[in-house]
Amino acid sequence: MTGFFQKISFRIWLPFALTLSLMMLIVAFYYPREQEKLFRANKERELKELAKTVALGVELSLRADDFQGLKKTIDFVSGTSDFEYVAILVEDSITGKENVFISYPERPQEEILALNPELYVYQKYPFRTVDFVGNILISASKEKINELVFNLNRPVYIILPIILLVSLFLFFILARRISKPILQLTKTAKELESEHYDVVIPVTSQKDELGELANAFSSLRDSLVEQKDRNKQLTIAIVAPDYQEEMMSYFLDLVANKKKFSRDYKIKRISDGEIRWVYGLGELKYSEYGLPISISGTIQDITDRKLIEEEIKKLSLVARHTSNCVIIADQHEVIQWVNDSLVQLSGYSFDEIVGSTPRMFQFEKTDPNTTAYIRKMINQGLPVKTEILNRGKNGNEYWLDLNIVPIFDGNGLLSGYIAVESDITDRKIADNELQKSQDALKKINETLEQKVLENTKKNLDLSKSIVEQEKLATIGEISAGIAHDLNTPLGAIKVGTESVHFTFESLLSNNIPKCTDEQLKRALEIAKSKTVEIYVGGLQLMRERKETIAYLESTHGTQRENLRQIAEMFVKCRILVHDVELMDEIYQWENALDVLEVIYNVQIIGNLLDTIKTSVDKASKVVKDVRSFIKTETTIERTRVNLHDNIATVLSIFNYELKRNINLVFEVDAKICIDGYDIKLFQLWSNLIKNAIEAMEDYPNKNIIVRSLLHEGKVDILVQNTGPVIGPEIIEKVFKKFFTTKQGKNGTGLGLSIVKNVVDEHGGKIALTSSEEVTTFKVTFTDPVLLG
Amino acid sequence: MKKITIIITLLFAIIGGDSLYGQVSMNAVTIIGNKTGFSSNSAKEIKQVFRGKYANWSTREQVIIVLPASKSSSAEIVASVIYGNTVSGVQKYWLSLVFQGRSNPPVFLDSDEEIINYVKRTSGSIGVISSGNQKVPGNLIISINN
Repeated sequence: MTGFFQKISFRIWLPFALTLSLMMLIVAFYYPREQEKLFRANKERELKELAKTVALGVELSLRADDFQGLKKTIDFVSGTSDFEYVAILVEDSITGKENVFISYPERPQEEILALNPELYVYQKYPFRTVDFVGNILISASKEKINELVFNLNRPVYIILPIILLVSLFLFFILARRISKPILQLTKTAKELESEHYDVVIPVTSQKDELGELANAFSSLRDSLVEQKDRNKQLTIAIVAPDYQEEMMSYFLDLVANKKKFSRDYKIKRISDGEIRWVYGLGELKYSEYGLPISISGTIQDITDRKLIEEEIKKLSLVARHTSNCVIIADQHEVIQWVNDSLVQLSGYSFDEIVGSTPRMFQFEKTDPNTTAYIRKMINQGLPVKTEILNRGKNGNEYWLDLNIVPIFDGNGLLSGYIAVESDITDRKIADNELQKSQDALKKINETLEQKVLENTKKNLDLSKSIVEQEKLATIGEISAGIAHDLNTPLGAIKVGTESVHFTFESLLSNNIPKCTDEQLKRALEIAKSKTVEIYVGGLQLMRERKETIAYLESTHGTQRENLRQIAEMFVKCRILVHDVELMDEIYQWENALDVLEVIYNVQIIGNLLDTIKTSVDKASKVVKDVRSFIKTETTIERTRVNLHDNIATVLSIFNYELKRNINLVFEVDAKICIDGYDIKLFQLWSNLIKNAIEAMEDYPNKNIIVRSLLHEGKVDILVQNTGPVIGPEIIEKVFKKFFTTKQGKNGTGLGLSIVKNVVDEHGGKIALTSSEEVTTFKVTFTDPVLLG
Repeated sequence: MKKITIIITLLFAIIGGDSLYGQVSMNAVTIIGNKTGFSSNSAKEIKQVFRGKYANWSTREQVIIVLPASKSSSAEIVASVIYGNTVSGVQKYWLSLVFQGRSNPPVFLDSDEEIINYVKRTSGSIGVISSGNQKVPGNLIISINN
């Protein structure tokens, strides 16, 4: 039967047919009823109008004698199709009852007054003249009216069924035309649903909706094929890698047992690759072949819940299995739950503890200040961290490290507390022991500290001493040079002093007694104004003596026997022929030779005194430099130091060593200054110079170059020597304390260490490079100041 | 009851109507007619004509009754003489007849002159006016034999 209806496209055309039939039925029943109601209402109105017309005719006939009009009225009224009769009813003035005055067509008064509504429809209308009052009663036959009503609706009863039948026939034809391709496409859709994507879709050339539908199906089939591939990849890809295998097994189980899909699993979010937990709930849909097609349902992101669950799980695990004691109490401090650790520690059973308060563990030794503190913090809703001494059921006392955290509900109201307690009894005992030990140690320490302070002071002194010794070692090493530097001026002083003494003795005994006071006075004036040259001699002396003799002979004659000696003395006293007046003045004196001897010797004494003074200065400078070099640190202050002068002082200390066999090039700009400690800088340069001298000890070609290079707010001082190459393994250690390559000689291993410290103290840098040609210490200072 | 009343009234009219309503003589009115074809001019017959007894004359011409209007001066005398009734009664009488279609309605005119002129112009018409009108053409007067 179903096949039959399907065959005639029942499902498509039936709704149309039903709809149309319903409309027809509505029209068939509703329309005639409405028509009848309308007709009857019109009929009543018409009857009323007719009664009114008759009443008017009666009134006209009586008032204006217009019986013609009355006749016409009666003719008109009686001509209506359903007219039954019309009557004039008048009221009996005595009985008050209505009587029939006249009727047309004539009917028995009883019948008229009976007013049978089963047979007639009535309408009354009053009339009134001067002496005649009554009502016009007009009636129509109900039977005739019904007949008219039926005639009125007759077309509806006849035409509607015809229209219905024709429409149903047309719908049937149309439905067959539509349903055939739709049934075909339905079959195709089922094939697609069963993932039979190789199904042939009947593509039609029709340009109507069915043709478009077939074409759309064809496109849908192609899309489904693509989507299937994508979904396959997506489905696999969307499940987190570590869940894919498990989910596949789960799906197979679902399909095998026709179960609902309901599971928590992890996915890898496509947008950002994040792993999320989801809960999937749904039902598998199967094709008519029993193959799973899809799952319909919902997926809910439950990552947060899972995290909380895992967190709770962990926390629960921690709370149960932690070696710490855990207590959960309500807002009234009534214990709700404790873990096994507390049960074991306290000796009470779980049931004994739950329902009590933590005060059950406190006893007379429990510090009241601690309990008061706990109470105060809890009352303020604040977490508590303290240590407390409790007692167990068996009287065992134990110390707890107590952490109480208040718990608030979603409305911020206190709902309870969690207390985590760790048994610190052992620690407390150890602390006590430790405290005792510490007290003892403290006393020892105090003694030790005193000793350490003393030893430290000693060590500091020793350290200073070592540095001083390093300096003194340097001084010792260069003492021979210093001695030489001192001997030279001392020798000169000695010789000069002896010469002065001898000359002075000679003058006093030989020449001065032979001269007058005036001559002596004049001789001293001349000696003061002239500068004699001690070493005048040779060809110059001979030439000037010859010129002088020539002048004296030409001027004063040749008769003077000591002319030659006088002329020589004139030259020695530097009274030459261009100063003939003075020469003539002296020459005229008989004892001119004595006067000249006085002049000359006075000049010689002056020169000798100058030499002595110079030598004294030199010796004094050497002493001063040595003193500067060995000055202790406590006396130094940070000052502006001229690098040229500072290095020159050091070089002067090493003067002897340097002048003896080393070619020194000193090219430091005299304008460069830095802010620093001159004594420490002496140490810096002296160690570098000393190193250079010692390095070149066995080398024939000895050169030391000291020069400055200014660049970009810095100044480099290069101290170079042409000694042996220093290997990299030495270079990296050379500035370390007590490192020396002169083991067994005179090396302390402190020299370059001191150099490094001094450079660091001045905010500078030092670098050592070495090659076959030259070894260079480059000392760099920042922010140099240029004089002038 | 009504039916009985009508029958009695008619009997009186036929048998002794004159005696009942006829306090006033036919001489009080003048009957005029135009081609009425009257063969008899008895008062009874005349009254029967005026009471709508006949629809056509013997000549098959329609009987047209012409009466003075109810407000005219002749109405009362005519009602009394011809119908033995009041003016109002005459109106009700004609109302019954016309209502049931038993007679052609009469023509009511306001004056004797109008009645005379109407009758003069209208063939088959018969009218009644008060007696003594000098303007009545002699050929229109229908004499009555009491």
